[in-house]
Amino acid sequence: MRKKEILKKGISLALVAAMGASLCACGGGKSSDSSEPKHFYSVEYPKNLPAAFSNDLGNVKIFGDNLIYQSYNEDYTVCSVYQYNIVEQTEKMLWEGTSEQLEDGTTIKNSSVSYFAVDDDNSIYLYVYQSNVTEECLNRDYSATTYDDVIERIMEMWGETEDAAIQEWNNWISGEYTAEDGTVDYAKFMKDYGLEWESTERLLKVDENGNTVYEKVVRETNPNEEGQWTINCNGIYCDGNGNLYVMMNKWSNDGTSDEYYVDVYDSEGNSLGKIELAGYVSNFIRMPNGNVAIGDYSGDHYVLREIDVNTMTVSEEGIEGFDGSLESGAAAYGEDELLIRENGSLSICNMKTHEREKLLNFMDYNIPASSVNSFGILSDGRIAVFSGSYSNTQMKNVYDLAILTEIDESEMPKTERINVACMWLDSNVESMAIEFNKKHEGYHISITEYNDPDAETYDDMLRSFTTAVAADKSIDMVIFNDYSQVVNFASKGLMTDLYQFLDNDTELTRDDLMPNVLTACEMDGKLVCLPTSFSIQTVVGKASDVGTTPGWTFDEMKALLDSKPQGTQLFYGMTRSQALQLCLNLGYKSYIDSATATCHFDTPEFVAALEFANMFPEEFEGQEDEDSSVLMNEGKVLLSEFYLNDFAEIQMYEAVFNDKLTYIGYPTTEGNGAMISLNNIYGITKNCKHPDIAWEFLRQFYLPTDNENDEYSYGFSVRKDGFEKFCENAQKPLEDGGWTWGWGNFEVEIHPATDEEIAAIKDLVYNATAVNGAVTNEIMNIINEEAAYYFSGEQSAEAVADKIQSRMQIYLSETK
Amino acid sequence: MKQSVSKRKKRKKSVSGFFLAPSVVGVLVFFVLPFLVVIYFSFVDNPISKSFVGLENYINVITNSAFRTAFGNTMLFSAIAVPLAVILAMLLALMLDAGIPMYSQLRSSFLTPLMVPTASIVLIWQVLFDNKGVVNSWILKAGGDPVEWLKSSAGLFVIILLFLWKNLGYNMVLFLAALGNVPTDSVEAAELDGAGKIQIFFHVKLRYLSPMIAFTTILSMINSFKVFREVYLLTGDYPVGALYTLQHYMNNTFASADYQKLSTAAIYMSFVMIVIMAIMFAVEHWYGKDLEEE
Repeated sequence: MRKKEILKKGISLALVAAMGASLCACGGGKSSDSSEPKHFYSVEYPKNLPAAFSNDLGNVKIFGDNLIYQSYNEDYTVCSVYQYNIVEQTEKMLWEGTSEQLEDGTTIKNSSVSYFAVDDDNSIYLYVYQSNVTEECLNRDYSATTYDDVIERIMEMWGETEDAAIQEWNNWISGEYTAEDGTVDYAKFMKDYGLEWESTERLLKVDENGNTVYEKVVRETNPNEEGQWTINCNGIYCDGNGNLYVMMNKWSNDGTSDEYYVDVYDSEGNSLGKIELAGYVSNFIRMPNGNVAIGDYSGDHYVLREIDVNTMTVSEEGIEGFDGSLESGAAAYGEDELLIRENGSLSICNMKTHEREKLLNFMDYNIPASSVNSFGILSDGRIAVFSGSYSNTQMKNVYDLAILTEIDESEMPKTERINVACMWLDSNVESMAIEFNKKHEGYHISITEYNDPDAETYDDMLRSFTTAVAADKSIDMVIFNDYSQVVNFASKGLMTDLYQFLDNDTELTRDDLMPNVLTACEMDGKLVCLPTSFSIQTVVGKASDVGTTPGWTFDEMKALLDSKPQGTQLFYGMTRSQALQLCLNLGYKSYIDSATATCHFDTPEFVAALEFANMFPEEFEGQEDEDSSVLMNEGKVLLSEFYLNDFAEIQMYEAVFNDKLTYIGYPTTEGNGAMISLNNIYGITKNCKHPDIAWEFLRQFYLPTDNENDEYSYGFSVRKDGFEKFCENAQKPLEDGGWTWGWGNFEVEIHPATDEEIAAIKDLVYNATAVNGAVTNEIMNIINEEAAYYFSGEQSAEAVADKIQSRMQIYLSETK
Repeated sequence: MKQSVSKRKKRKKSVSGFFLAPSVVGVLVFFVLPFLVVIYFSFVDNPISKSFVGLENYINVITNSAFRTAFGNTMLFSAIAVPLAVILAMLLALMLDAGIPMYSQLRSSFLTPLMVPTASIVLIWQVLFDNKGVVNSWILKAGGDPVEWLKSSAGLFVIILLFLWKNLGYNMVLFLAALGNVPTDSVEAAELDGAGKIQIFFHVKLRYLSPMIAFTTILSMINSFKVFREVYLLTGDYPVGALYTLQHYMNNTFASADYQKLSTAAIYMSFVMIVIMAIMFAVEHWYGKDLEEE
């Protein structure tokens, strides 16, 4: 009996152990550490950086203690490669190549370094590309070049048909070679594009004392060889034994063959052999054991595979699970560890166990993650990070070298964090945040991306973003991609009213900002968000067709179409679902009342919208040789959607339509039929711990700038004076007296905007009230699903409108 | 002596507790704790600020027209589908228990729907009940007007049919097992006393089947509250009003991060189910009391 009891207990224990073991996580796959870093650093920026850092730099890489970089002189005739020792803060030139130009500015000789690598002895390897115009070309007489010669040359260069080449010449090239009196300098074009070059590619090894160890010609080409192959170098790298790996790509000019391989040379420049590769390789990485690995995308993910130089093969097995492609490189960190960059952070990756340990987030140290070019470990254990990006405020490239020294957490300066959530980090926003952090001690704006790499559609990504942001109570600000996200968050009462800050701001008032943009951002009288810029979308048509007053109804549009011959189209390329979505965006506020969670789709207005959408095809099938500009000019297409960016475009449309135009807008029951799209929309959450500081950051986007150029990357400034300045600049005399813009067979001389044009644009922009993007995909899915029954003729528009009303009411009731 | 007995009892209890612990911990962690989290979320304003708002969410949800529509539809569906699932399954079981030919083939065919994935069933159902589907073509041939099966209140019929098709087999098997446990001597005694087949069924067999009736009713009720996959695949996130159920409401509020509404609706649903099950247990206890006494 006793034995039976012991046996029973033993079996039960074994079962418990089995159950417990099954709860343990199985290994395998990626084990990335997404937790906060446990290391802390102080940051310093070396003061005595080389002068070249104030100009444009070419290739830049950190190898050990050295920053190797390529720079040019002012007129780009001298290319130099320098070595800057970060620890000793000394610089020396390693190589220099010169270019030559003729008196008329035509370049006839070029020298540059395509790639460089450094070995453990601090010898540098350079892949030098030198080219020069052939003697025969230099001595050729171009004065007899004709228009036909030019067209033939364009056809030859870009493989185009004659018609395409003529279009290319007319649209994009002729202007540069046409004098004010209309004469065309075909000879200059032929000199610029018709020269023949011969080139030499060399490998050069320079030791740390600047002595050339070897110089080896890898390839020579000349135009007389009508070779069937094109060969390119894609990169060079060194391993721990001083072997040099040169990544090559050789493809046949008829497109039938494409080879990738690596040539390997020893430290004396002798060829060790060739390693065939399966396909394109994105980069080399030096492993902790000194071997070189190649990184490629096997399927849809990045894999590192080690090269075995003894057998001249690439390992079948690889290391996976990286976030990204390691294209900004990696640095050996310890015996088995690599320092790698994954998105916005630096982590240590153990090559044997694949475990990660996050060292730092770039943003935490005011290093712009989107601009990090290269990084490395210095001999004294500090981490060097080089970044470079274009600054819109300084209007030039800006470079930084940050040196990070590990410190104790207690030595870290105490700062209050403002956490900003976004789907994708914009480099401009990142720069503004870093600039703000540097000016405001005690506060730190930290921007985190919340995007789901496994999301299959944009809707799934939006949903993941919404869920992640809603669940994270540490988020103080949100950058929305979509106006519909704003509506979703604001309707739940999650956003702070920004008017409380705007109305108390000493430098900004409501009057400084575009009034219709403010209205678009309001919900129940509260300012729930602000965009950094906005754009305008409308419809243009001939004034003789649509009249001179913006705004019209569906009936008026139908009447216009009915008055035209059969076969005339309203828009080129518009489909039913696009037309329906436009109507919904325009009439959003009349169809949907977010405040009361009610909708009004069972109305004559919506039935008219369905009937309007039914005028368009389900799918657009254009003819191959069809040119929309010709159709508009011939009156076969009556209208065009117009995205307002500059005044030149409206002049182009007038040339195409061959008439004065009216910004007639999309058909609607109210407003001028134009829509505002809000870009980079910011909001401060109700949970924000330091709303005043969040506003202090946000207001940077709306303060007056000293930027004289006023060329917005996308859209118009939200500031009224910003838009007014845009209009003012459009009336200034153009450089070189003007320029020509071609579209298809049409060419127009662009002139400064007239008072009449300015007045029309201002009327359009200030009176645009409908907001694009309010209609979510969920709303469109419901409406499209039901509307399909009307479009197919199965049901009447009224019956479909009733069904949509029923389903939409449920959708809206859920949100209340 | 007494001390050693109580020591042994304590030791036995600790050993039992040790073996029970993993299951108890599992139930706590995977069932009780999440339920407590759900209750917590039903008392806060939103997932970000998480301020306590008392019964405000409960009032908002109960007055929300979408929730009321969903609740009403789910109750109506359950009120029709569950009795049908129980009664029809019982009748099928009785029929098979009577020893008809091809008993095992019929039993297997009734169980087959359980094995077929819902997504593939839905495709067939769409072909049958689409506006231009097979059923409407029969109706047209018969001189009638086509019905919008999936876009009108007739959709309820389709969903009930789908529910019964899926669940009858399982319930039938349960009833077959229960019928097998009816003591034959009670049946024979009733036959000897001159009772007819219907009298035997209602006064003898039904009594013994009452626990199984209670069980299948509860199971069918739970399944009816969970009917979502079928409706979602047939009609999407936002079907016509008559097909909008509680699961739609909860799925959609989860997708839009309205965790407080989702949690409150779940609490309401749990409460209703607890009440219904309590009534069921009470009825079953009263009806089967004399069997227990036996």
